[in-house]
Formats: sequence, C-alpha cells, structure tokens
Amino acid sequence: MLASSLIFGMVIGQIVGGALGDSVLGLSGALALVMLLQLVASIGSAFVPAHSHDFYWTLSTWRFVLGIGAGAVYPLAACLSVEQGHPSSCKDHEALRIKRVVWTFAMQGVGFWIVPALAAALVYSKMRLELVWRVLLGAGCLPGIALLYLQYRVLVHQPMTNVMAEAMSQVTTEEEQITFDYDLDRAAESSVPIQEMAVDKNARSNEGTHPSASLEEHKIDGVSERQTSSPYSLPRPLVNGMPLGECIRIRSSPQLRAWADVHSAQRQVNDHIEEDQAPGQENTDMPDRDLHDDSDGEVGTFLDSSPDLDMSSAGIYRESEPPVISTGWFVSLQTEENLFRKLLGTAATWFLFDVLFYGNTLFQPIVIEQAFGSRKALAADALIRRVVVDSLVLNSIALPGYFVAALLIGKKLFGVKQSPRCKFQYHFTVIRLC
Amino acid sequence: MELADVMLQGFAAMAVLYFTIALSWHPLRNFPILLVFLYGLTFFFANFGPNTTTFILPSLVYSAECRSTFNGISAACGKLGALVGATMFAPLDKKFHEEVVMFMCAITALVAFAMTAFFVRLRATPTENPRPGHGRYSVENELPMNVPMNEASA
Repeated sequence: MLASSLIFGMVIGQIVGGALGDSVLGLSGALALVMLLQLVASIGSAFVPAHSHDFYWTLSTWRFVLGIGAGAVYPLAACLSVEQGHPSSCKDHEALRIKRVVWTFAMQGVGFWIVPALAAALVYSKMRLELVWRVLLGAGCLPGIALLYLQYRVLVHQPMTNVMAEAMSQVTTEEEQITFDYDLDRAAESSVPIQEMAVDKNARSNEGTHPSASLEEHKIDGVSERQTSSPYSLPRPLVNGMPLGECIRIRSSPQLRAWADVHSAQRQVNDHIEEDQAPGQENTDMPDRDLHDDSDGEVGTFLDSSPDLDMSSAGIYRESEPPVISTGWFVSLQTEENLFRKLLGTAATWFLFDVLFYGNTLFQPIVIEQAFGSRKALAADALIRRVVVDSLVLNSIALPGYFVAALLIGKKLFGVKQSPRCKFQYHFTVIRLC
Repeated sequence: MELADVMLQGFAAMAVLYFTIALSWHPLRNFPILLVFLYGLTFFFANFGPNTTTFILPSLVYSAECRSTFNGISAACGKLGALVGATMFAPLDKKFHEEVVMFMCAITALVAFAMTAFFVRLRATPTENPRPGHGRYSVENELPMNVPMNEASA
C-alpha cells in the first residue's frame, strides 16, 4: 500500500512533470515547482500523527504526493543535464552532454546507497524506532532545500534553459560570443588561422565608420556603393551587421526571421546615424554598405537575396547552431519521427528493465535468506537490523556500477573539461527516497 | 563506450547471472557469500547498463520540443514495470520456486536485450556534428533523418 502509492504518484509525476518541462515554465521552472512539492511532502510525511486510526491513509497520501514530485524530477533532471551549458557547436559538446547525464544518474546511485547507510546508522544508534523513520522521511526535504537554493543561484545567471529560449536569448544578448565561437569553428574547418579571422572580424566591425583600403567606392546615380575586396569577404561572417551564424539560424525560422527584419532595419538606421557623424566619410548621400546585396533594392531582405550567403551556408550549415523551428509543443508530439519505434526503444526496454530491477529489489530478502538461513527466529529489532545491513551490502556491490558506467560511457572524453554547472547533478540525489 | 553497447552488455550480463543463479540455486546454499556476490553483481550490471542508459536514452532520442514529455512517458512506463515487478514476484515465488523466478528474470533480460538490439541503434558517428534534438543520435536510423543531404552522403 505504502510502496504502491509512491509508485503510482511517480507514474503520474513523470507524465505531468515531463510535459511541464516542455511548457512555458521551462525545465528549470518545472524543476523548482516539483522540488517544492517534494519538500512539502517529505516534511508532511515526517509529521504524520501516529496512533490515529487513519495513519496509513495519511502516510500513503503524503507518499503519493512525494511520488509525484520525485517522479517529475526524472525527465526534468535528465533533460536539464542535456540542455544546460552553452550549446555552442564545439565538437565535444554532444559527448559532454551525455557525460553530464550519466553523472547526474550516478548521483541517483549515491542517493540509493545513502538511504540504507543512513538507516543503518540510525537503527544502530539505539534511537526510538518511530523517531528513526520520521528522521528518514523528513531527511528527504534536505536535497530539495539544497536544490532550490542552488537553482536560485543558477537561475540568476540563466533564466531560461529551454532550447528555444536559450537560442533567443543568445541571439539578443550574446552576439559577440556567437560570432567568436562561430569564427573558431570555421577556422577549424577551413584551416584559416584564428588570428586572421579575428583581424578580419575587427576589419569588418570597423568598416562602418572607417573606409579602409580594402573598400572601393562606386557612384551610381548618386548612390554610394562599397564593395569589399578583402580576401576574407567571402563568406562574410557579418551580413548586414549580423553574424552569419545568426543569419542562418534566422533563415530557418519564420518567427526569428520576422524579428530579424526589424532588427536589421534598426541596425541600418544606427549605421546611418553613425556614418553621418563620422568625419572621415566622403560620400554621405546614402552610405548603405549593404545595398549591393539586395538585388531587389529592399531594405532588410538580405536574407533571401544574398548569393554569397547561400553559397557559404551549404558548407557552414552543420557548423552553425541547430535551426530553431518552433512548431509548438502539441504539434511536435504528433510530428515526431519514428515515434512508435523510438518509444519501443526507450519506454518498452525501460518497462522490462524495471520489472527486473524493482522485482529483484523486493526479492533481495528472499535471496539473502537463502544464503544466510531463515530469519524467522530473530526478534523484531534484530530483524530490522538484518534487513538494513543486508540491503546495505547489496547496494554497496551495486553502487560501483553507476560509476563504471559514468567512466566508461565518457571514456573517449578524458581531457574534456566538466561544465562548472555540473553542480546541478548533485541535486539528483533527491530521488533517493524512492 | 557507446550507450547502446553499455545497455546490451548490461542486459546480457544480467541474463547470464540470472541463469547461473537459477541453475545453481541449491548448490549455492553452501556458498552464501558467492550467492550474495552473484546477486549483487546483477545489480552492478543493472546500474552499469540499462539502469543508466534507459535514463539517458530518451533525452537524446527525441527532438527538443517534446524531449521532456517523452522522457516522462518513458520513465512512467518504467515505473509501471516496477509496479508489475513488485506485484508479480511474491506470487510467482509462492507458486513456483525461487529458481523459477530467477529463470523468468533471465528470460525477461533476454527479451529486453533483443528489443535493445532491434530498436536502439544509438551510434555516434564521429564525422557528424551534434544538433540537439535532431542530432546524430537516432533510435531508428544509422543516419539521422534531418541531416542535410550533403552531409548524409558524405
């Protein structure tokens, strides 16, 4: 009854919590919410009034609520470890993501081990039995408190961890960073030294105000056009004052595209003002340096009419950020490719595995009994000690499995620095009360 | 090590261990430490194997927009399995014997092994670049569907 109420709670929590993670709350927001729930539930279950006639009902209800909270942590913690960190296109990023999830999971192993260890310590401390289980249940709120505190600190720096939100915030706030990352990647790909790329970048950022030797000027009908003859001008990482990677991302998403039109129009207005005020300018009629890109003469349509951009985008596409195509949550559920087989791969195997895993967890006493003889002769308190110690022994054999997995799955990746945010992983110990 | 390999070897090792325990259940009574060690090893390979990989898989397989949702659904399936396991083991043990339960565990592990082999083709190909959600990881295909053509042919 007690155990099954927790499991039922977890089933509901996992489905609801998983969906919450994809909602407007984002992964972090949803995680904070369910941790709060878990915190309340573990405190509640620790202070259930004993000796009342509906004691087991009350406790089961609290365990059910706790299960909802603990279950929801599963998908959220997994996805958060995958998505957290700078989603730059560095080569080891994917590998690093896996490594983070594995370590997150290893923390669950630590949690599973702590429970019998703590239980053993308490049982042998001659504490009153009632106090023991109250302390054990109440201790469940500690990781919740720790997580909420740490999450608060992380959230201050990174309010949205949702992929979409992350891409958006980067577009708006980390342009320079993106350009740089992007230059690095391109330099690695085309073996152009990074310094040259950097110089090139400086030249580009200067070209708005200082017409340098690499700029030629043509007068056609009173309109000043400048063409860059720099060897690095193709492909040009800055298009209309925007990093190319950004442009590519924008090209792939209608929403961002609309935003980009406004953005580039603003930029051009700014350029006008800057160039009008620049003393070195010779032609101030219409110093729009990007006009030649626009075959149709429209402002801000570089996205669809720039030939060199298209040329370069083919090679650069995979090096750039993933295209953010916002289709909405519900649509994405229906359009997911090979959904049925993916579910067979992830859900059905998980089902079979947990039949084994949890079934055997409950089967442990029987096997131990087979090994060390019947326990029926033992007195009640000695029996409890045996159970606690036995599960501690088995868990101690099992615990290294997590770390072996963590080390071997990441084996190719030695030398890759761990993200400082891997602190987050410790939060996962929270599932330990399951 | 590849995720899918870890998963496969985990299920395989579990199946072998369960078979071993099932076949030598009575002789093992004389070697209690060995029995506990073998049984502990099944948990070791559960952790260094499916316990870890089932947790990671969903967060790599699905696209970003619905990743968390399907992760939750997969995890919920796992918990349903836990419920089945928790309710089935005791009656089975009463009706048959412990050896039979262990034997059934071995069969279950084998089925899971086969399903992993068929449906989880999670391979990282070193030439491709990660694209979260639509990345080089795919349960279904050796090559992900969403990779641009020039990349797929390369």
